[in-house]
Amino acid sequence: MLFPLKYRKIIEHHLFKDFIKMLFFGLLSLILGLVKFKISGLEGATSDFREIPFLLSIIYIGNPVYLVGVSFISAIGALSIDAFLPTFISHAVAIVISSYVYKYFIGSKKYGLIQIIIFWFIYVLIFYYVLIIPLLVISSSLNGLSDGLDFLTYYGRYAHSARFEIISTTLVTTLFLIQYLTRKELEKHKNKLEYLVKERTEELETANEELKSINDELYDKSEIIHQQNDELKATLQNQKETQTQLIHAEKMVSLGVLTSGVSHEINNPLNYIMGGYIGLQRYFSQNASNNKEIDLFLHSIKTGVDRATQIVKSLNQFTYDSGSMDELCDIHAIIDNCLLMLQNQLNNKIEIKKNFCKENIFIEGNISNLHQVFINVFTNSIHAIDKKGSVFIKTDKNSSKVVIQIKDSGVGISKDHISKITDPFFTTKNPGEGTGLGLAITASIVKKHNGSIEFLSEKNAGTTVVLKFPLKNE
Amino acid sequence: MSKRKILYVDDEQINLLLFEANLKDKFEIILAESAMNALKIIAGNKDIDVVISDMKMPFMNGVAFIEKAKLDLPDAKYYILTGYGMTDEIKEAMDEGLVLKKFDKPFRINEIINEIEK
Repeated sequence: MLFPLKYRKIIEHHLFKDFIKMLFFGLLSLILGLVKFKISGLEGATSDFREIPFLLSIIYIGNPVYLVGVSFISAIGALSIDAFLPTFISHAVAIVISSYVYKYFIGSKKYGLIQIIIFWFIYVLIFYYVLIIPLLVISSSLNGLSDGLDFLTYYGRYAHSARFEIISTTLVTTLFLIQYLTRKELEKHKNKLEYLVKERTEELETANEELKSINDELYDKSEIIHQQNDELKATLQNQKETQTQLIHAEKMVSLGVLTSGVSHEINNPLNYIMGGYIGLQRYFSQNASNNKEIDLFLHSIKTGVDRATQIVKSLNQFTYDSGSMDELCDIHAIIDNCLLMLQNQLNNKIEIKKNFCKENIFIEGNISNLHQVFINVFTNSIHAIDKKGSVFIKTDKNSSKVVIQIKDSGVGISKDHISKITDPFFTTKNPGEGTGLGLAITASIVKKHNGSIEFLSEKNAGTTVVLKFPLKNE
Repeated sequence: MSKRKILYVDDEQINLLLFEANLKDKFEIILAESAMNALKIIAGNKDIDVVISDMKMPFMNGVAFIEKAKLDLPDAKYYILTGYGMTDEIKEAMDEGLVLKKFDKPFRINEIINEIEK
């Protein structure tokens, strides 16, 4: 800060400002007046520029007291003490009158720039011819400085000698005024513009605030919509899962009714064959026959009955859901059962390679449900193999877990699909060929057994399914 | 030691005949082609050791028959021999101790012999 606060108060006070202006204009006028006398070569000139700052002071200083002050300072440059008084008086009177004229005509802002300029131009002439010169002449005469000349002669001489000064002062002050007024006008526009900008800025800010609050509101609403959307999604997903389970349960029930009926109808004739076989076997062993062919025939009957029995049994295990989750499930037996049921689909096209761990693996759960898991996984592997291929089944266990890997050489699963394959109703098969429920059911059964199912696959690179279950410790 | 007495109930004649033919050397076999008939036989033969019944028969199924038979002959061993897989009804009967075991058709002769001779 340039000045301490208490001085600043003084400096910024309007009286002090007017005083400084008085000194400035007065001294400028004095200096310009003295130029005539003090600079060699100009001594003879009758005209000078002191009236220019003198006249212009009325634009800046409104208080007549300071204008009188300006007149006083300016008049110090008069040739002699004798000349001082008339100069001072004539100028003081003229400037005070001029300041009122300026105030009421130009300061009123009633007139345009051109009118003001024309008026000013004329007024400066009036200032000289009507105010300064007559007043000088009169006051000089009163002071006895008129050299005995009469008023008109003295006036004429004065006016003539000051003609250059009159014209120059008129032109310079007019130009200055134009500049001054234009600048003021520009400033006014600038202020107006600033004000407008400020106003518009405020308006914009208000509008912005409103938009912001609307935006916030919209955001809140959109949050609600999102939330509702999520809820709907969850409900839909839930419904889909329920639907899947319902469809599946219904399917399993009808399948169960069917297989149990069919198995009874098949088992009875199988019982006849078995009974007949037992009887024949006993007969031939009692009546020692050395015919090798008889052995072959008997053996064939037994093998056929056993195989048919096993198939029917697998079917029953597959469809009979005891509803309990605490059955002891022999994983190897279940896998073998499932492979047996799928035998006709394997034919010669798919080779099954088994790498079972040496001990039997047991988990706790539902035998029928676990059959469904393996049937579904194997069916998918079989469907993934176009012509010839292989399915590799590996089982393993550690202290807490059973791990079953089923790896096929099929077409694989694309990246887009792999995350969706356990979604209910997701299928890449044609309508009527697949419901898209198989893996959804598989995943839900695995979950029910506290297990996990994982699919590792790439398009055209086969698929590996990794199943993990908690081991049942004996 | 005299042969054990087995009552075998089945509505199909061939099953009855084959059962008898295959087991008559080891046991004394009594056959019944219906549950009603079997109950009559039980009334007159309180020394029957083992009752083996088919499950699916007209008028009265195996479990219902055994329930009735057990009232008259509580000390005999009761078995089901059926072509059906496991059903809730059989499982329940086994849980209650009404039926000791379910044999599957086609029957395995050694399984039956071992069980009875236990």
